[in-house]
Amino acid sequence: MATTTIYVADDKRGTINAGVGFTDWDELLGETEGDTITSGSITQNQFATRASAIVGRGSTQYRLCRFFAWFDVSSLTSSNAITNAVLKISGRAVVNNGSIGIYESTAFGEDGSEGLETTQLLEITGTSYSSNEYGSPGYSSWVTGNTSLNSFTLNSTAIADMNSNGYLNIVGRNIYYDADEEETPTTDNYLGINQWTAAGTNNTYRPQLFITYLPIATAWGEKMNGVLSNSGNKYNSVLSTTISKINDVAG
Amino acid sequence: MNFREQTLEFTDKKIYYIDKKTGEEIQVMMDWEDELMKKSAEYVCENGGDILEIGFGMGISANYIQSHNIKSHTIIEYHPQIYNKAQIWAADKPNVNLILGDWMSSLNLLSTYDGVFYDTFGDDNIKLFGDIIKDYVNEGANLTWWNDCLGEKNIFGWEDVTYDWIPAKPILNNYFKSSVYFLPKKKF
Repeated sequence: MATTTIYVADDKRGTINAGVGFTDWDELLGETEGDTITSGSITQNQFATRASAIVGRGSTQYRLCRFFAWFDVSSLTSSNAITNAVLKISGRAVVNNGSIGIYESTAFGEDGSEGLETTQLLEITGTSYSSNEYGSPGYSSWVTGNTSLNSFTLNSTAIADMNSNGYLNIVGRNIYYDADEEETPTTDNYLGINQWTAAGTNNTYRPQLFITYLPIATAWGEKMNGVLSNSGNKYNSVLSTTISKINDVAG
Repeated sequence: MNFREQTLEFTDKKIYYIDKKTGEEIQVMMDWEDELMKKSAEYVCENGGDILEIGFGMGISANYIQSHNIKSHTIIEYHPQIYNKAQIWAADKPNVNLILGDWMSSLNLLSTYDGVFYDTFGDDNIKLFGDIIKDYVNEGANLTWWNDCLGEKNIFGWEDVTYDWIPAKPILNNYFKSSVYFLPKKKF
């Protein structure tokens, strides 16, 4: 098995911020268009997720932030099978019930053909992509301050989608108020993400995927019963790399 | 942090502060609201008489209220920096009664009014306003409030509220984004 790290591209990540004028949380959760996108290299706190009630001008308004990222893994999946992947994100402050879970997204034109737009706020499927979550209440502690990265172990659904699509398209959402829609927020609940350093200068704190992969079953030769071994990396829907023997014959 | 404790910045175009936790610029009021303030003042001054304005802000609506034929103009301002600006503004206006504080704790200083404009920031008692203000208005009084909702939404639960649709051209801000301002009109 081999490993590699793939960093998110500059134009393939950002946080969509929404909620200006919304005085109803449920309406905001169904809204298709955000107000602004924050991305790039900045020094101030950067929202990753937010599910908040804000008392400001006029009545109480709500704020919703979702963090989107798209990773190109096609260079790996063309001749390898991903067996394990860990999404790593550098964190900043968690306030109140700020939290983050990783879910499937269809933003970025789904296949990465588009940049992130405010109109993609609702391009989410609800499918969970990670087996662990961070924040409060009751999730793992979100590490902040450049000391280390927070690691999301991607689940089998995410791994299978990466292998079949050649990309990983994710959204980070507040778990309790946004993804699970348990309650209407009454305070400012958010979780911050760290600076996204410019490409080529310092990737340390850039959102990244640590991937473990296997070469596709080349030991079987180019074909088996006339079927290319790397045709979708699968034989009868079974990943070739997961097949150690066929009729007791090792690959 | 309570709004009263925020350090405000004043420019010709807006009042704002920087949220120390998030780094966000939070606008309190902006000059693109001028037309909305004018229309609001027209409605609350329709009867003339005694006018109550809760929230001075940039003083835009206060200037428009002063341009109408009214008897008195009571202003409640919560933030001390804005209150200081209002004091300077009111120095040559004998019919202005300026109060420092939040409206809830200023009730004992109030009379009854023929027009009320409620436009506050960070008011924790907003949900109580609808019930309480009914005791401070004269019959036939006109009341409006800053309506940040994206539609004809009546946050106070009053009956018989009508709305004027006013075209709005907000520049990027964190409190209002619609191209229409739904000016609420409540007659008591």
